[in-house]
Amino acid sequence: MSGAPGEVRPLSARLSAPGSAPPPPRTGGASAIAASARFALDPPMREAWERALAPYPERRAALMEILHAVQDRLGFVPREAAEEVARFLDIPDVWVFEVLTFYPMYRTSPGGRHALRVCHNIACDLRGARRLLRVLKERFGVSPGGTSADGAFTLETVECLAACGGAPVVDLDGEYREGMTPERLCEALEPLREGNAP
Amino acid sequence: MTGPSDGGSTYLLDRAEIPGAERLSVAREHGAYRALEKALRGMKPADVTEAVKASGLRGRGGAGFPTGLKWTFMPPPADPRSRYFLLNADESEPGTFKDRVLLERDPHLVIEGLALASYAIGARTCYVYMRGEFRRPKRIFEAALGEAREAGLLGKDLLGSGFDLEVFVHRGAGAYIAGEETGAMESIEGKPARPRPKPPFPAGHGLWGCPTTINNVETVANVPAIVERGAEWYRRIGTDKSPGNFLCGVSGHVNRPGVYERPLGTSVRAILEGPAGGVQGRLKAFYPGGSSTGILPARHVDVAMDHESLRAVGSMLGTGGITVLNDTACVVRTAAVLARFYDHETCGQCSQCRVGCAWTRALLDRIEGGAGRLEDLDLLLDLGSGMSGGKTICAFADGAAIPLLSAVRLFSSEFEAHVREGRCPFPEEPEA
Ligand SMILES: Cc1cc2nc3c(=O)[nH]c(=O)nc-3n(C[C@H](O)[C@H](O)[C@H](O)COP(=O)(O)O)c2cc1C
Ligand code: SF4
Ligand code: FES
Repeated sequence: MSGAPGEVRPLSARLSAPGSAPPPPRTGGASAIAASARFALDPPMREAWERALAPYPERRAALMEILHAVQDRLGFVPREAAEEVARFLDIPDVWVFEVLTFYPMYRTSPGGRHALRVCHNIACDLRGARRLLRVLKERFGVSPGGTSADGAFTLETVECLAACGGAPVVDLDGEYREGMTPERLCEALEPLREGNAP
Repeated sequence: MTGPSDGGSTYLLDRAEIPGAERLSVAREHGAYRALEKALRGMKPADVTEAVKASGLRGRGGAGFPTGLKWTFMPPPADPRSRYFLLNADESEPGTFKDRVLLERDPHLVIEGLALASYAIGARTCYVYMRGEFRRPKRIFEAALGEAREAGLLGKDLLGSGFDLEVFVHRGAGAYIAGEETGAMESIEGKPARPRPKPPFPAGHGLWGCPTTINNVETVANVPAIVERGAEWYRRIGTDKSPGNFLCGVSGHVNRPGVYERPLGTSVRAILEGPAGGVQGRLKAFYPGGSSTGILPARHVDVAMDHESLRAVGSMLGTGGITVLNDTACVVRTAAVLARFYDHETCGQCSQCRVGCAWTRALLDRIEGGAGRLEDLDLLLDLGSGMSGGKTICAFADGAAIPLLSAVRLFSSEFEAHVREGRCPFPEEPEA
């Protein structure tokens, strides 16, 4: 460790020392929410929205459940849906956009047919999550944040899924797969590839 | 998932071991709701609080706050506002995976516990804040809620006592900070989970400005046994200041990772060598209670898992989840993984936290990548101390600083080796 005794350099000077990369800018915001002509508030969806209101004394509180309902159906929340939700709850659009972009589970653009979420937190990192990510890149051509060329898989890395005893853990379309090895992961994914669909 | 083989008393996972215990009929055959019946038929709400206070039960969500005392902070029943009980099922602290076991394998224990807590504090509405990834636990738990409601164990006039209780599950959407108590409240109100400055405290000003008590899933799972068997029985388990059993989730380099029920005060060695089946390879270090507790080198393996003993060696009991590193694992890499996690999860309200997380992440990546400098270690210590000491709105920043500071202080030679060699000296993949 270095630094003359008693020497005080301002933190900002030391942080911008040569070789230190500044933190990357954060992305997101309402402009990142994709538009889609696909959204229509049909009766089943309206019913789901109405049901979401029941537990709460205020309409706004149903927001998260309503966004889940949209995403469960469409795979993401398009801008038109977000605006419709705002009208339904009688709140400003921005209140919807800020929730949509604050919580990482909500998608604001379409993904592949299957959602693959690989935990890369401590227990999974210690027990082979990196191997899983490598095999996904080599065998399926998909990297974190991306979708495979055949549109079959969207891959995300996620933080601890509260299944550390079964590390490494993969969440495939909302179901946990524990104790994953590269072999077992390939076995689970091969049948889901384009052309292999049952 | 087993209790002590040494014949000790268990009460958290007993039913979880029984196939089909998520169904009400099976759960009732094995004692479910006896404590709730006892309380509703013969105890006043204050008697339940008194029993929990006398038991010495401390919260299992991370901070270890005395549960009965927390319940007494609620305003008197004459307060005209609605009162809420909030059950924290966000379980997002890395290395922690015990609440999910209870929700999936013995949901009626959790429901009985939350009903007793709600009764004690006079709440007629309970929200369960459940992390969005918990699709399966949610399915199982909601089915159990339905069965309990059918049987008159929830809803109107519970067991003819005049007490009403509705329970709702609120789905989160993947933010760790939503597990912080006021973050969870903001989230239930339909907002980003940005923690609120305290005071005001939730007991006076919680959900929608109304009196609210929040507890962890495992915390309330202790309550039925306390009500049924009494505080004196409970106090005989565990240690004087940390009574009762706890669920110990063991992960990382052990032969049998899993969730085990043991008395507080059990040594880390007894857990690793007993139910966890021994360390794979040679033990180098462990996080004793989730990612926000200080990492401890192998020489502390005989430390007891209770609040006081872990504090004495410079760490914390936290959530009781032990993560084990063998000697092929890299401490710098683990610190970098956690720094990335905290940087990803900070809500960004406090500059110490937002800026500190971004820079500790960048510095640790640089050191792990082989481009670090020795003065980066001082910088990490400075950043860590800037983030800690309760300077921020919530305890997240402290939680991010603690594992960082402990790793740099206790494993400085490992950090220095990265700098000296210009690369990570450990195998790319630890050997398990
Ligand atoms: C950043 C942060 C995340 C937290 N996450 C959780 C969580 O996922 N589950 C939980 O029960 N408590 C969590 N807590 C602790 C809660 O704030 C609160 O103390 C706890 O739910 C109270 O319950 P208890 O007294 O029964 O332990 C978290 C705290 C912080 C600061
Ligand atoms: S300490 Fe961090 S997570 Fe907590 S309120 Fe401040 S910025 Fe948000
Ligand atoms: S670290 Fe992957 S599930 Fe906990």
